[in-house]
Amino acid sequence: MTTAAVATATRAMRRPARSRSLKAWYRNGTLVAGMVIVGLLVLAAVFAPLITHYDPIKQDLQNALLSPSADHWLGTDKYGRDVYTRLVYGARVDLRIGFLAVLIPFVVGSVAGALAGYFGGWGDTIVMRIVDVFFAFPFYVLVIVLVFVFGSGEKSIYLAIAAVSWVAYAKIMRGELLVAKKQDYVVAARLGGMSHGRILVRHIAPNVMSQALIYAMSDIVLDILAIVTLGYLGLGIAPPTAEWGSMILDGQEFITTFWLQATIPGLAVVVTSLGLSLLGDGLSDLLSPERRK
Amino acid sequence: MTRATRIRSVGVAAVAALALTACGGGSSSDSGAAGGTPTEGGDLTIARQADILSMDKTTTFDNSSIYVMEQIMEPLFMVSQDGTKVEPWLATDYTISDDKLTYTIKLRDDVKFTNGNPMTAADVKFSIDEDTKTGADGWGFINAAIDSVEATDDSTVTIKLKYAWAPLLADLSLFSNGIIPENYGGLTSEQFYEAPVGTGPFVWGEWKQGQYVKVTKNPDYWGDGPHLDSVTWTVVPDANTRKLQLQGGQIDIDEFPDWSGFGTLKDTPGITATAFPSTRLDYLAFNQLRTPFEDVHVRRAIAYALDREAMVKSVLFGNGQAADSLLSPGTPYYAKNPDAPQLDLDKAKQELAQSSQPNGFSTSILINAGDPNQVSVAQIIQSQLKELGIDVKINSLDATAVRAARNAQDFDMIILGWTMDIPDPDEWTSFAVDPEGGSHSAYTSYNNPEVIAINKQAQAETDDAKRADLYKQLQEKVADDAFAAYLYYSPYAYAMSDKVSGFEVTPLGNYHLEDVSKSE
Repeated sequence: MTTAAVATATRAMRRPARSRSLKAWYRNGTLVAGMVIVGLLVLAAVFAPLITHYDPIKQDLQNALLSPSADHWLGTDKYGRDVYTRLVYGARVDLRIGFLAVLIPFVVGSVAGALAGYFGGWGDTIVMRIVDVFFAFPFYVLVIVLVFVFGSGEKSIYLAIAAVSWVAYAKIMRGELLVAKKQDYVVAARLGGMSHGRILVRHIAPNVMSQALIYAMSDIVLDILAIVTLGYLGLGIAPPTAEWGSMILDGQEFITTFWLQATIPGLAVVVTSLGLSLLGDGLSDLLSPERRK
Repeated sequence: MTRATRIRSVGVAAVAALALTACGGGSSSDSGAAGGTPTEGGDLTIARQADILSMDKTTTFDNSSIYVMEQIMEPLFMVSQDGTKVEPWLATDYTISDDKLTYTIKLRDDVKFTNGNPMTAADVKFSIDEDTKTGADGWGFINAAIDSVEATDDSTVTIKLKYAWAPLLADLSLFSNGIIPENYGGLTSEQFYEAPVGTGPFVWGEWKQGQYVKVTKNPDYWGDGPHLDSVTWTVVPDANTRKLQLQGGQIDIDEFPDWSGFGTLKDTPGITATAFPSTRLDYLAFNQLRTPFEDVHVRRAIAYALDREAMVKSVLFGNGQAADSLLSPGTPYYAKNPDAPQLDLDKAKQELAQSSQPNGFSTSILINAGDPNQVSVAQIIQSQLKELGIDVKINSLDATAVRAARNAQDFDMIILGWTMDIPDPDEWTSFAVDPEGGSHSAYTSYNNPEVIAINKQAQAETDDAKRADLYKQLQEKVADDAFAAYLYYSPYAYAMSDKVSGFEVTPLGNYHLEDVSKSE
């Protein structure tokens, strides 16, 4: 077989599977539901100033703690700020950080895991032992400790989450690679004389990325929960920025009197998590249907 | 936060003297329930936000600890229920020499420590000297005027002063001058304060750090009461939990419920919510060791930019009033000050324009994350200072970290509170404006020699009218210097089950649990 023939054969091997499922994406109810929910949230966050005309930060102490009305759909908080407005602007912060925070661990973890799995040997041992160390600590314990060390704020959250959650990607990708590197198309590519780099990037990566991608969806949920938790603990985004976690914290004082204050941002977290979970589930059906069976 | 309150009694110095004479002989506390005999027995549970820190009466500044130690160790004189005067307590009577430098105090002869030994003049000498020795590291500054304490005989103590000192009796009514056995009953100070012994209505029980502290009945108490078998203060940091526990009958008293829930508690059948008048002042302190707070114009600009009425409305839910003086209205010699900075944005802008930072600056405010009032006030301050171009970052730490940062003056601005412990303004004015007063001028490093001189003059002045005038000057000058921005005066919120009777809080914050009883 010539090199060209091997490459063609390889491509032929993976193409049919992908195009078959992609064609049917709109028939995947879970995926569509997830996309609608997440899509709406993202649109609301992006166009926040268009869907509400209040300032999320400006206080109006004369109009504090109003009940829901036509002017203030969800009432006002103790500083007289419109709760609905803060909810929408809070989506900006929480979604932005949630999405951005998965990027670094996704890339770093995937690359580290892929290299470890593909090459094996002492490199694999070292990476996996580091991964084990991180897994030994509960997620929140490490994140909170790191945020304490770095000081509260958005940058620290990115750093802390990156430092803690890359290990999951590493573990997933390593497992994928252990299987993939034994597959016929990889063996064929090796025999054809391709470099490791080319095989990894051009041939293996497209086939194994789906698992990391699906995990990333549920990881965003975890990250958003972490941001909200940090906000609730007073370690997250500093006031007065609207953020769901700190809204819950502020509203806690009124849980027995103005319960909407803490409940609404809590519900927002639930809906967002639900949307992202559906999206991840749907993607999983779409990208690797054989695993679902 | 901590409140330090000291009062020099007599705030009314002269007034107090009269009052004392008037009630001469063992003033007894009101006995328990209004009408009817108080129920004997029962265990009282008080839930509160913060745990005690220490029982060392000479170096402890936090109210959580103070309210507990006051049930165990008692002073010679006691602040009256209305908080304006002092009355003999472990003392029966006293005389003052004509030169006002020698106080001869007679002691009760029927008082025993809970270790069984009788209280004598030697114990009193030891207890007062112990406090004096702490100097600026504890409450010793309160006793600065005392030259010597001598046990003339078993039941007489003679106190000689270095200079005429109006607040002496009030100082002696402070818990830091509480009476304990001579030489700590043979223990070291550390050992003794792990399980303190006093003459009070309750005996030290046990302390599970972070959970609860418990005291039990002193059956041989010299005075009326106690009616309860024991009292437990449980640590329940979350105000909603305390509220639910009270409504569910798991606790009897909720110490300092949130103002946001105060109204609901008031409306709950079976629960009484009371706002007891207090001497509490909440203020924003500026660290003058840090730029730009050494600049009076910066401080004034901030003081003029704050909307205190709005804070009272949204933080205290109307249960308080805007502050206009270092002293609270319940403190002797409080002088209403219409010139004290109140919200006036134009003036604030003018002051800032004259300052070293005409275009504003960035700074931070340190708060206790566990105190919802501080969290709210900080956000309101942040928003209001923004109008001046001052960017405020809110640093919220837990109470212990805040205390450490405060003591080290490691902050730009900090929200603090003060309540008086004795009915005399000197306790607070010395703490707040005199760098030697134990706290580097309430942690600000404020140092105005003119003000310090007035404060010292007022300490020695025994003429009531002249003293009032000195304190008026002091309040005006300090307000003009804006050493701190006064925020508001607030009462003490307590909510309790209707089963509890006899629970009264003085404006100084203390309560007498020997008067309290609990029905079935």
